[in-house]
Amino acid sequence: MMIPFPKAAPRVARAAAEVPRATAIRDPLGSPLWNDLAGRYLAGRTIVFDERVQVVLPHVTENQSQVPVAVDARALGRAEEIAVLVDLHPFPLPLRLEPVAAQAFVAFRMKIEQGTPIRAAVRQGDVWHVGGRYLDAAGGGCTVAPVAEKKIDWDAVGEIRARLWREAEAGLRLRLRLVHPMDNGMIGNIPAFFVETLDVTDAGGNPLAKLTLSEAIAQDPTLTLLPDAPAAGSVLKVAARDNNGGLYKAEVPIPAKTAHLGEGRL
Amino acid sequence: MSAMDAGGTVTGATRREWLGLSLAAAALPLLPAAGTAAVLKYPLAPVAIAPGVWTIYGVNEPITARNGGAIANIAILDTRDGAVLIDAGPSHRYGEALKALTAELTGKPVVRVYLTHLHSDHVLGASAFDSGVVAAGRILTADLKRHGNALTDGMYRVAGDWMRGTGVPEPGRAATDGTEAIGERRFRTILLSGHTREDLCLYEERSGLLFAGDLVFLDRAATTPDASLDAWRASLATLRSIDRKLLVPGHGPVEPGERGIEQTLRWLDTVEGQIAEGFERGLDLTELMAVPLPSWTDPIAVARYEYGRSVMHLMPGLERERLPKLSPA
Repeated sequence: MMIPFPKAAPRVARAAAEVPRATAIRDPLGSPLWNDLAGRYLAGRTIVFDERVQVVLPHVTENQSQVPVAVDARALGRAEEIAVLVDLHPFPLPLRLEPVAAQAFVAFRMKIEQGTPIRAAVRQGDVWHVGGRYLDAAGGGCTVAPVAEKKIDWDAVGEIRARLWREAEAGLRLRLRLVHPMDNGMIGNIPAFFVETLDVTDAGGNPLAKLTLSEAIAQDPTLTLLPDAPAAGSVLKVAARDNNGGLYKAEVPIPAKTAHLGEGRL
Repeated sequence: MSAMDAGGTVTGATRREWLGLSLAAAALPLLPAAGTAAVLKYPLAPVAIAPGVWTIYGVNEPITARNGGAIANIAILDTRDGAVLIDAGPSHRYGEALKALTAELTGKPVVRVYLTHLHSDHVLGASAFDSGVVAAGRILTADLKRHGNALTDGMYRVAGDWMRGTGVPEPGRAATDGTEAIGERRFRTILLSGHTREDLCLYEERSGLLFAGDLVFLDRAATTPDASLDAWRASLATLRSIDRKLLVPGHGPVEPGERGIEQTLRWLDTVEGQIAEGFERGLDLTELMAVPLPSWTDPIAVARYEYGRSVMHLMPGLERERLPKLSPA
C-alpha cells in the first residue's frame, strides 16, 4: 500500500510589517541567512550596518570549541542591548547582553560548527547598529565530541573565579570564569545542560549587566564585562542560573586603587 | 586545533620546472592548462650539512594549501646499510618524494625513519614507509593512535589536495633512551618533552650532529599547541649540555653554537611573560593578541601569528588557576 508522502504545510507569508528594514540594505558579509536572522531576532526596528560596532575575532581558529569573540561598541556610546548573531550555527543567538549600567562591550568564547559570519547587533532606542566579521573555521565544535576528551570536574561545577580591575573614568573591568559543562544537547546521550542567565549587580542588588547565554557558549564560560563602578558597596554580585535550576553566586571585591592599565585594552 | 602545527608557504616549482611545464604544455596542447592541472610536487632541495648528511629545509610559514605543509626540516643520513631519515614531512606525497630523493642521493633504501613528535608537518609523511622501519617513542606512538585522525583531518582541510593518500602512521619500532647503530653511524636517541608530551632528539656520534626536533626553532617562532613550557626549558638545558658540531633545529637554519637554543628560550620567556602580564592587567584573549611584541622578535618569521596562537593556548590555564576563587555569596 502506498502511503502518500505528507505535504508540507504551506508557508505563511510573513506580514509586511515584520519584514526588517535590513532587507533593503546589502549585507556587507554577503550571507544568505542574514535576512532570516534579522527577521527572527531584530524585526520591527531599523537596522543599520555600522562600523562603530566591532566584532574582534582571532586570526586563526585554533579550537572550534573555544573561539574567543569580543564585541566592542563603545564608539557608539551607551547601548540598551547587544545581541550576538551567528549565521551558520545551530544556536544562532549565543549571547544577549543588557548593559544596564555597563559599557557596550563583552568578550566571551563560543563553540563553532563551521566557518560563519559573527555579528553584533547593538540597540540604541529603536535602531539596531550591526557590525560583524567572517570567522574561518573547520567544523565540529557543536556536534563532534572534542578530540581531547572533555573533562568535567563535577565537584567543581558552579565554581566562580573572578576579579575586578578599577579602570580610569570610574569604570570597572570584570573578568569571570564559571565552571560549567555547557552541554548543548547535540552530542549523543548527553542532555543539554548549560547556563542560561548571568546577572551582575551592585552590592544592593541593582543590575549592572544582564546576560542571556545559550548552548553555543563554550565550556566553562569565561567573560569580560565593563560595568560602571557603583556609588556604594565594596563588592559586585554575580548570579548565574542553569537550565536545571542550578544557582551559582559570588561576590567579587572591588579594588580600591585604579590599576595601571597602559596599552592593550581594546 | 592542536593538530595543525606551525605553518609556512611555498616557493613553488623552480624556474627549470616551470620551463619544463610550459614546454610540455606547448608540445601537448590537449593537456589541461598547467595552472589548473599541474600535479602537486614538493620541490625538495637537499642541502649537504655534513658528509653523507642532508637537510631539506622547511619554509618559514604557516601550513597552507600553497606549501602543502612542507615547513619542517627533514634530514637524510647515508649509512653503508641504508638511509636513515629524521622525520618524514607532512603528507604521503611528501614521503614518496622523500623516498625518491633519498634513493637518488644515497642509492640505498630507507632502513629507518625516526619520528620526533606528534605534529603533522613532521610525521604524516611516514605513511609512505613500511611501518617496520618507522621508529617512535612510546608516547608518540600512543598519541598517533589516539589523535592521528584529528591530525589528518586538520591537514586535509588546511593543505587540501597535497594530502591525498595520507593516512595515520603506525610506527612499528619503539625508540627508547639509548643508542642504535645503523651501518657505520651510531644514533643516541634521547626522549625529552616540552614542545609536546614526547620529543625525540637524536645525536649522531660520527657526524657530531644534534637533531633537536621542535625543541629548537631558529628565526621562526616556536609553536605551543601541546607545550609544557617548564619541561621545554629543562629539555633545552639538556640539549645545551650535549657536545656537538652542529645543531639541526626542527625549523630554521642548521648552525653551530647556541643561537637556536638561546632564541627558543628567549621566545618562550617573552611569550609567557607577555601573556602573564596581560592577564594581570585584565585583558581578554583578543585584546592580549593585539598587544605588540618587543622589537627583538621583528626578524623572527611568523612571530605575530604564533604569538596569537600561544595566547589561545596558554591564557586559559592562567584563568583557571590565577583568577581568585570566590566562595559562594
